[in-house]
Amino acid sequence: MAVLAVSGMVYAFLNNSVEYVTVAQAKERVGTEVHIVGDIQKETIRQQLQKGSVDFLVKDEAGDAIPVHYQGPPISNLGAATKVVIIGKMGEQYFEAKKVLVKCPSKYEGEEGGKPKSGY
Amino acid sequence: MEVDALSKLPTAPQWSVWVGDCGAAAVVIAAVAFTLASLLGFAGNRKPKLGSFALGFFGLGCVSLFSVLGLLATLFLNDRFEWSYVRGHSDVATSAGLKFAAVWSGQEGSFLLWACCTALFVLFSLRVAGPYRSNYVGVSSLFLAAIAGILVFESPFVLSTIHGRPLVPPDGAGLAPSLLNYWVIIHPPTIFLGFGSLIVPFGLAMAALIQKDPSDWVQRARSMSLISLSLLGLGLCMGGFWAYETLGWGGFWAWDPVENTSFVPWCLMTAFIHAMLVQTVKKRWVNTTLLLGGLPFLSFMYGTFLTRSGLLGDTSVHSFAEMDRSALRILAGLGIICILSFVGLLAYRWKGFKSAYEPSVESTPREGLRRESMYAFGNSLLVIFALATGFGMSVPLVMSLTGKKPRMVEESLYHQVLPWFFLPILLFMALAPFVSWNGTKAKVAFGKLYGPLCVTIFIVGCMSLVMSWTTWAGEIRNEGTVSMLFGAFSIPRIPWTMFLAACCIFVVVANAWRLAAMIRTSKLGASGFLAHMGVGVLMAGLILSRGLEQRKEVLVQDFGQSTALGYLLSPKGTGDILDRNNRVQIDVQRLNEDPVRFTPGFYWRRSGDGELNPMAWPYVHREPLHDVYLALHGMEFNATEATPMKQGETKQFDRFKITFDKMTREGNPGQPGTKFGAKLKIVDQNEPTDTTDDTTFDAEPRWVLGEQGIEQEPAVLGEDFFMTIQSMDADSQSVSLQLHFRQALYAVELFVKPFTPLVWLGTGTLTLALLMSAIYRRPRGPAKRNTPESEAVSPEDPIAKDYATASTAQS
Repeated sequence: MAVLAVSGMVYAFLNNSVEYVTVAQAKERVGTEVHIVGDIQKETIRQQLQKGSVDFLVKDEAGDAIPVHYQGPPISNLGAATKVVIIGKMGEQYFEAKKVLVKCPSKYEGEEGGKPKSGY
Repeated sequence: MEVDALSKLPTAPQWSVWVGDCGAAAVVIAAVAFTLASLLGFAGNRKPKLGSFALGFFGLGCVSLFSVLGLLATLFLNDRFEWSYVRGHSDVATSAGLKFAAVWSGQEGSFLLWACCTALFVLFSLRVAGPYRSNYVGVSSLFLAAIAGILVFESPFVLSTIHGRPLVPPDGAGLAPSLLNYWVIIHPPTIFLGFGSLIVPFGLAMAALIQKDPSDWVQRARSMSLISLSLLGLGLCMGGFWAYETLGWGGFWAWDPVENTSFVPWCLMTAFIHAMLVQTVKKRWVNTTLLLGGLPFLSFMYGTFLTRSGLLGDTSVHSFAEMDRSALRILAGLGIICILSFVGLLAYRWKGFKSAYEPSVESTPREGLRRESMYAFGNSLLVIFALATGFGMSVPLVMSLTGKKPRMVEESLYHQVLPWFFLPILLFMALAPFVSWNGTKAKVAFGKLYGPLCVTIFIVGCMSLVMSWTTWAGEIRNEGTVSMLFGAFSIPRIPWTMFLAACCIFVVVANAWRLAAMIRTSKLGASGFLAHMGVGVLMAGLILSRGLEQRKEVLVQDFGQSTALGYLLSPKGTGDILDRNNRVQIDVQRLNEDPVRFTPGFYWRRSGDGELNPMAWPYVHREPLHDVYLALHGMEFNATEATPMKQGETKQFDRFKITFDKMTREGNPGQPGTKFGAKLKIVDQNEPTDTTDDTTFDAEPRWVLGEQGIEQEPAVLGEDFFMTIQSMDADSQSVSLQLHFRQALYAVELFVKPFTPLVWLGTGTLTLALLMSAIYRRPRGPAKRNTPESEAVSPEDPIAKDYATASTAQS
């Protein structure tokens, strides 16, 4: 029974985890939920309180940039971020992020923005 | 900085260089002393004389390690920024308490804290280790030597020199803003004491394996293991409180790899504590107990390696700095040695131990449910739960090892996988207390749960009534669904939350029931049931607080008003928004109640490259039955972006239709006092519902050429706005205009989180119960060695006595 439980658990985790992709790959998979890691281009951040949206450019390791649109309150400490993980779907023109995880240069603790989720 | 400016910096005082050098030397001394202590310790089991040498070197290692901490703290408290580690983690403005905490705010310091806490626990448990002492010192010194070795490579004592001279920068980089909080002072020491204490069961189990004598290590490890579980639990909860109070997403726990790294040892330690009972009372599970004694430490080693090696890549929000390669190799090597030697020895001894130390014939009659099998099931579930959590965080590693693309396990996936194990665990927590060692008929045991079940239904009913009658809960609407069976179907959020909470409450009631019966015979002995109650309350609090939360995002202007979740929010201004202690004043009021002043933190932080970034802290208002949680997500003065306009052009700015008429000039160019303006024709458009005519007026925002450069002379538009010129081009006769709010606009997220105080209550109960238990199970009298015979279940053994009483009462 324990074996069954463990294998079920392993299968569930592997099968339902979300992929990390590059910008190029994300563009090929319009409509599927993906994670992209990249450097945030600070000068492109537009946090618009009234529209309740945040827009910015993210550049991945391959150097490909992608415009990101996030609908929600301004993301705390986004300006201090070096790297971000954006989670969402590729739209027609831009990446529609449903979550933005912010990584700060601090050594010890990370920081988190976006919709209710994670953080320490 | 220019070379000239650099050379003007003062040189570091000699004492500071001396203190740092002493620290660096102490690290090396500690590494050497622990290595010798380890070798002599292992040898000392055969030659006791060597054993006492081992103790001496171990003592020297500990003194060196504690002095490293002291010396590093001295550098921090005196702002010795010539030391890179100090400069990177502290600044002049940091308060003394936080400066001290800054010692462990970096990678190097956290390893140092881990080592110090471990050394402290080994020191405390030396006496109780008794016959295992020599090997115990050997095992723990090996570990401490490795950590000291890591510190040699990841040294906190690196002097930053310029042109070969140790120059003192005027200020440090300061702590990361999220750490500027009292939790950084108490959370890391607590949780690291918990991590440090994991060495006790591991070291003793290892010593028992080496010495081929698993007879009484359990009695010796018991009290410390209970303290360990209590500290780990408290540390975990503190981490959650910290997140709740500073991060502003309104929750405690998010299944982040770093959180999991501390949670997995907690689960395994809990399994170990239960296994110890079986070994003590029934003299069974000798090998299982050894395994469970080692696993918490080994799992923490694995987690530490995983989170700090960079193997998880960007899947964790906790960004640890990349470790020095040599240090990482030591850590990996240490982990591999520990795991291989422990598992190898255990496998090698397994058969022998089983035949020598476990009764060959089942002495008790098999009848119905037995306590031992309850523990067996419960522990298996706990181990699988730990395994699941550990596996979830290892998915990125597993994928990259199999050569596939990295994948990430989202928080919601944990929520779908873990209840499969969590709910049966709750059932066993409720049922096991009613099952005796000698066997209780299933019908009888389940029959005893009838009372607690009725009380649980009553309590859940009362909670539902409270929620529907009171106004604070807002309108808890049955919005949102929870995905079940990995998306196969979904069920509404509120009933699922209430069901999970009811299961937790059932555990609380069942254990309270048992506690009430037990407390008369043995007050401290009943602490196990109290601990179960603590877990139940804590989990109920976490589940209800998150599952029933109401959330609303609103925009509100300073000195204006907005409503959210039945609360009226009226901001009353802010202080200096460049001050890191700045707080925004917001009055929050329910209908017919007095306003309460909320003061969320907000300031603009100047980063290294001079840019200003907003930093925010939520405000938590605590009521007896719920929390009102306000997160400030931003402060905005700009109503529009800077918009370029050509002469004669008309554009919409918020509710204003603005035509740029022409550029104006007053005075001569180049002379101070000269004014450049943009003449504008403005139509203030009313709301569509307003039937009065739109108003039309002229305005002229200007630039004034001052001594210091250009000064803005904004034009006021209506009561709420003003306009500025952002740029001007005389050649093309074009300007760029920006509309601003006269009062700041805040993006506010308000949460009402029912039953959150249960989280605190549960944490307190659990910690207290485990400490009580540790007192109860403390080693009494001089730690004398028990022979296997004297360890038989005897009336002197408190646990056996409790359960003997319990089983007679039931039979």
